Amino acid sequence: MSDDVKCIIGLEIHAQMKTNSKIFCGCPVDNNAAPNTNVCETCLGYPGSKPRLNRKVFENGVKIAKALNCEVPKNVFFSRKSYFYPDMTKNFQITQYEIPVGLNGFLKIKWRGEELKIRIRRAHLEEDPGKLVHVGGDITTSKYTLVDYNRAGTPLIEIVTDPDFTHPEQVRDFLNKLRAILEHLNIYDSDMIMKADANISVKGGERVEVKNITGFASIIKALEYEYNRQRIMAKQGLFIKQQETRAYSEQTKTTKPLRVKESEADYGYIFEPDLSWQRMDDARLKSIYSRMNELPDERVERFTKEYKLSEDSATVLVYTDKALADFYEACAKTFKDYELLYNWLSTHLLKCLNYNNVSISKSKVSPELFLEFMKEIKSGCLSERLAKELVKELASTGKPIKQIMKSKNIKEFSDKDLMPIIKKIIEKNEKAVADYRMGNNNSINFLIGQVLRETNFQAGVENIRELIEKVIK
Amino acid sequence: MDIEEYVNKIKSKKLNAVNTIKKVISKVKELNKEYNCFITICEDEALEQARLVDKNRKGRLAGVPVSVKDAICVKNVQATAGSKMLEGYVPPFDATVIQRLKDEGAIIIGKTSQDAFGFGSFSVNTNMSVPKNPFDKNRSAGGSSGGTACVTQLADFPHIGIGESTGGSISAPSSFCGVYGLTPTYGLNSRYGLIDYGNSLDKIGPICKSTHDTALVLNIISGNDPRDQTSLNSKKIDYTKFEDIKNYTIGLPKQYFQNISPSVKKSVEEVISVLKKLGIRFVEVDLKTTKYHIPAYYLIAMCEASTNLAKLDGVRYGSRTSFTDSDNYNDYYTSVRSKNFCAETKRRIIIGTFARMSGYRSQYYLKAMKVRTLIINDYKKAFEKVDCLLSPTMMFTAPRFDEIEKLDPLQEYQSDLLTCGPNLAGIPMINVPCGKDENGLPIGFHIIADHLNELKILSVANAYEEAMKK
Repeated sequence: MSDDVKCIIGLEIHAQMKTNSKIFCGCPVDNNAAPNTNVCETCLGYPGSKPRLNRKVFENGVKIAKALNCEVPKNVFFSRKSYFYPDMTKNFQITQYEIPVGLNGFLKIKWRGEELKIRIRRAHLEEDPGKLVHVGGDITTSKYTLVDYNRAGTPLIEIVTDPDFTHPEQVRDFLNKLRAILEHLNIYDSDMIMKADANISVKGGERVEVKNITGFASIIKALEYEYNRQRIMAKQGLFIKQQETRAYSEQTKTTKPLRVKESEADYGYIFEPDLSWQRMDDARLKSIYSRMNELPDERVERFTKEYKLSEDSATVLVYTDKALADFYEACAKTFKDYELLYNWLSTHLLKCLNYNNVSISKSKVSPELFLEFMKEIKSGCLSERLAKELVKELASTGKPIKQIMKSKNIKEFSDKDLMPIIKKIIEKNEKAVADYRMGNNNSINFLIGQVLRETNFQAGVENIRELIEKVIK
Repeated sequence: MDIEEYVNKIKSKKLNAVNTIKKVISKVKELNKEYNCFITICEDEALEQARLVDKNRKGRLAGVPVSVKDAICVKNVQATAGSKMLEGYVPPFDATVIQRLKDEGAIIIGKTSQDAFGFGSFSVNTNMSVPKNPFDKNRSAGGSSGGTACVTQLADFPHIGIGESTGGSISAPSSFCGVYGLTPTYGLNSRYGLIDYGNSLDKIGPICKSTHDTALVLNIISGNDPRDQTSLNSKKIDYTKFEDIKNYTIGLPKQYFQNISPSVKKSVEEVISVLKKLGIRFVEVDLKTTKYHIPAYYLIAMCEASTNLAKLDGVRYGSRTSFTDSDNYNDYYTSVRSKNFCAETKRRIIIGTFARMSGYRSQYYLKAMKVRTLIINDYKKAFEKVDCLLSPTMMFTAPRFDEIEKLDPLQEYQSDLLTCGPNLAGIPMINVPCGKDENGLPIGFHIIADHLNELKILSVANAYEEAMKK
């Protein structure tokens, strides 16, 4: 992608928060429940019912604010945002307006070797509305629409950035970092829904708002598309003249106009009078912060010290997927060759899982199974070529490594098995042996190759080397 | 027969709850034909509860009939809050106060008439039923808890009324009907199960035939409720253990004695002299913020109300209309809301929505919220010097329906002048009946105290009540 045209991007990100119960009632949150089964008088907004704030969700909001370097105001409260829509049970949404849980924070990202500071304007908590189900089509084609209120009252965190991004690639890194933070705070996992509204403009043009983009990958695709569209237009001297709202289509991977004229909706905010103020004194904040999990940056630092990994390796483990870092740590408890572990986990196992389109947390490979495999490698009994074959099998079947080896008729070559082969090869290759003795180290590799061939590439290289050296020295 | 005496008879099996409730139901059915005090009489549910009472013979209110303002939810009994919009809405839960009453053996006999959603002072702003004054059927029972006050006055049997006040809706009807009505400190009684008018103002309170009954009911319904986050966690008090009032100082807010009808004024002056004889000292108090009470109250109440009523869209409960003639959801909402809200409801939605629109929000809604703090401080300052405040409850006695029809909305709002200040401040007040005017219509006076000083106002009310018996 050519990036000779500068752009400005600001984001509004909504992430569903991991929780057992809804934000203002005790109903369970379950994205897979049968329609309208996880509802009560409060999340249905029945006259007479009242909301009550889920303490844990609120505290998770405070933790997010802290992780995003935000100020937490002394008194935090909620507001009513009024608008009529059929997925709303009260026709107002309980959200935060004047004083949200977090203000004026930032998140640092790396882009092309440079550190950038993306300012966070605010982070606030709110409830999700219900879900409209357009039967047999979409909103324009279906004959009728059903409403499922299960989702009503699911907690969301909304994070608003300043327009500090200058390239869509930066958004990828930002979202990745944000996701890792939320995962480490145990507030979000990859099954959950992240949505964004993005404002994007190129120099000389008005801004375009791309609304309601669902999913991590789509957010980036939509921005890349919109950046390219505006960039190419700009090169031809065409600029967006009027603020515009566009929608991103998953099918076509393009954006299309929603409405040209932006009429600022008036939500008539008032304070939510059914919820009391949350007083955030130092003691309460301290108590919440003391219960915060390790954040990803802290973890990267710890990995470099505890496991002597490079910062890049530690970053791969922590920021690819929290589950990957957890997996690594589970293995590292007993497997102390940290570098070898890192290589086989982050390069080979992960590659196979990606190929099968399975995340590490959903894969059949447990740390225990992987440890067995690593022990085989460490013992030197497996050739690298064979190990690479076996890890594929391990990733797709999740069977114990011994069982896989047995089913593939792979023999483990013990010293006793190898010795006759080595002796035979040494006898056959006197010249190479002589060269080695003369100090030509390369010639041992030739001998190892010969032995490997004899074992059908199944024996471990290091083991063969050791044995050859023992014999010819 | 007061409540305690009646409950003892139920407990000692001298009285049978089912028989009593049968008689009570047939009586209120008769009364309702004449006075329209009920929207729903729940005979089956009441008899079911009575059977339970006869089995258990337990509870501080065993077998006592209770009439409840329609805005307060009673499980499996229709709750319209006085509006056709909610016709057919049957809440699947009890309000916390109702649960507490039922736990003590009380029997809910019906849901009473009111201004729709509490929007009024005379119980005429409704498209359900308009209650009539027990002393003159051409006059208002007061509002918005008019039906509750009306049936409390008419009941010739032990009876508890449960009302709700946002800006004066317990005091006004209690005054016009000649009964005791206590508006508690905001947050003392749970609002869970109350169909909201203005959530930061709404308070549920008892309307009874004596101070003692009022105090007894307050003992039962008050106290923290985790289902209402604005409910207070205050110390439990026995409100029937009245204090000695001999050394009380009571303030008379000078602004509260202006534009009072002569008969009301005369009557309240007599009250003061009775209380003086009981050893109470009176001083004049200057409540400088009084002129802001009505505008601040109406702005806040209407802003909150306009958001509360948004949920009434004819989709999930209450009145519906056909979908066929409407293209989209907005048309549907407009059609069902236009048809089922009465004029005053629409007026308050429109004003409330206007006052919180961007551009006006800071001039009206936010300004009113700030003024509210000043008003609270004004009362707090007064209570540094006095135990209670005393004033007429209403500036006049119950008006005739034809007089009410001639009032424009602003004139109607003005009638809340004496009640909306304490309601806005969330401080407790009680209406105490004190004689009749030249037309034989009841007059009431108000005793007001600082937050959580219900015991003080009940003690003064009781002292006056006892003095008048002699």
